[in-house]
Amino acid sequence: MNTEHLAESAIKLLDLDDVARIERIRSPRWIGYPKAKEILTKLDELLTYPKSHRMPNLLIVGDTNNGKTMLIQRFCNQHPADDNPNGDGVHVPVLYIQAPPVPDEGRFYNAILELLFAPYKPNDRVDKKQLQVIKLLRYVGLKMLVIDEIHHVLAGNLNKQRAFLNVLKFLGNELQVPIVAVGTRDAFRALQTDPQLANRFEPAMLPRWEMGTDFLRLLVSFERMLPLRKASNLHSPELANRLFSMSEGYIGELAQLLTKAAVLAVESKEERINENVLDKVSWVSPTDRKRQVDRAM
Amino acid sequence: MTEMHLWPAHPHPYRGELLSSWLVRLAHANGLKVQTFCRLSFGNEFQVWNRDIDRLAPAWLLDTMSKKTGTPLSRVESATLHIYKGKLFEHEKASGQLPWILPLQIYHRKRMGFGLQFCPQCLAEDTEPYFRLAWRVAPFTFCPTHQCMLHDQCPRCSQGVAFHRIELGHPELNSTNPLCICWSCGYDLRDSERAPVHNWSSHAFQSWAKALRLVENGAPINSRFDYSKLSVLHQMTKLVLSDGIRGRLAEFIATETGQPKPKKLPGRFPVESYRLPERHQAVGFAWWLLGRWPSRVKRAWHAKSLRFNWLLRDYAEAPVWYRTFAKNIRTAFLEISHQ
Ligand SMILES: [Zn+2]
Ligand SMILES: [Zn+2]
Repeated sequence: MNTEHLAESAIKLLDLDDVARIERIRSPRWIGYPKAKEILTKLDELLTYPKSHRMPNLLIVGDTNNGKTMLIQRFCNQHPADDNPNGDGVHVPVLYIQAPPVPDEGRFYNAILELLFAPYKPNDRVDKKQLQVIKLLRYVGLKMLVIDEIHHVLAGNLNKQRAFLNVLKFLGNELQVPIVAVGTRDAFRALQTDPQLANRFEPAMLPRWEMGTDFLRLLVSFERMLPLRKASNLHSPELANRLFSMSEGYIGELAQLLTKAAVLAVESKEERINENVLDKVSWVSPTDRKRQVDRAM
Repeated sequence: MTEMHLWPAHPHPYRGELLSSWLVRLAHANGLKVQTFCRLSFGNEFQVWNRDIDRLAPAWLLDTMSKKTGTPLSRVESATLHIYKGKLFEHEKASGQLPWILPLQIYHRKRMGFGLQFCPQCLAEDTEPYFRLAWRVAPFTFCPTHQCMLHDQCPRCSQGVAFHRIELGHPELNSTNPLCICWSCGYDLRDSERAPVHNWSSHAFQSWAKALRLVENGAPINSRFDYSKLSVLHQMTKLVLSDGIRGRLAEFIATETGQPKPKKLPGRFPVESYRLPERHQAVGFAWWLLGRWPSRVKRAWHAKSLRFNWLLRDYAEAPVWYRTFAKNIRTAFLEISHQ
């Protein structure tokens, strides 16, 4: 059997039975690509940045389902927390946290304390919780604070937005750690309205993909990771165009689509993704999905 | 983040540290007041500070502390006075006086007693001040390392040590004071006077210091030290403080050594309820009696300062060597009275 289309790790999976192979196809995988690697390098630099009273921050901007969260989780997994039972406290080099749905300082602290498994009083005064958060984040040796879905706290009331951003600034100064915010273009626009803050957050864009060499390379990378017995040649013009239009250039959509298609390819014994498989896969394009949701609401 | 769900700050107990001292440090390290920390960690229905947890730690407390700090349960248990079982006392019991262990006298959450002593120099030399198990032991009246007297109260306000009360009445304070700050007046106990031990009998004080060093090290099994000696020492201290023939035994030792008699509390009180200066004096007398065993006890008996039948009075746990001696004295007495 010709396995030239596959990576070493994927070839090994071909020995599994179909059920196990499908399970592996469905489990999340990391596909590196130039822009992502560039941002990961940037994050590594920030992590080892010498402590100062003016730490640089980063704002990772990308559309929904364009791989922001996957990228940041990839980074966090490389710097995992350690219970350190024999030491004086847990080690948390990188704390990944979802912004609360509204710019509420107290809820933000609750979320941090919850993640740390700290005993805390949810209804305690905000200044007390702030003290506890700072004390504990220092104690656990925090080196970077990552806040995903930052656009949540940058929506709505302008004063509250500003207040919340000031909290972030305060935490960054107090702990002397870089803050990495992750959000949509809305977050980027909100930050631009305050030159001081815009200065502190260097933007890193994860743009939507365009049809071109990079996208074709990405398809090759995906194909190498999907344990199918036959070559699909995803980068061939017909398939590539079809995949691009179905995913509308969002890498998260593409990953989902290819997962569904690969599962179908195994189940149907087709063992590769071709036009036939893509016809059968149940898929609603992101735009249509959004329309459906809008209509329902 | 993590599977073990440890407390984010989980410093382990220091060498010889009391469970209660460790618990307060844990609360502070996690950025909370002690009372809040305990309520959140053990639940409202479990009261921590209305009991002597160093003597009788409930299983739920030991288990939680073990699980949440990644400390083996056996290590957690060794932060309780349990380690002195079979060394300083025979059996643990839920209430009443435990031989050689200072009582805390808890009324609700307040500790009205003076059952926790401290060496200011030990506290001063700690990176993070903490309180020791040995400081709950009645004959531990001086520090064998620093050769200075311990204290059993704050030298400024005369209150007993109660570090779990540090933030009470200070709602603004989050949890920052080290344990050596007096809960009542804010005095830093590290600044207390280091009064040198008055060494009036080098042999007695050598044996005493040696025993205290063992107590400080968790009373390990040591082939060169017989812990039953501490049990007899307890009986001797009782006799020194007893009313028998108007305190003639204490009188006798005072005359022999040129030392002042320990002041006696009116009525019968256990050794462990005496304050530090009187206790120190009485235990010193007892060590002197034990010296050159058994000649001094015999002499006291000949001088009619000690009755042979006191030797085993209320003393069911007497070790064999002591019991044999007491029987010999009895025989000698009967022979004398027969003649
Ligand atoms: Zn000392
Ligand atoms: Zn005081």
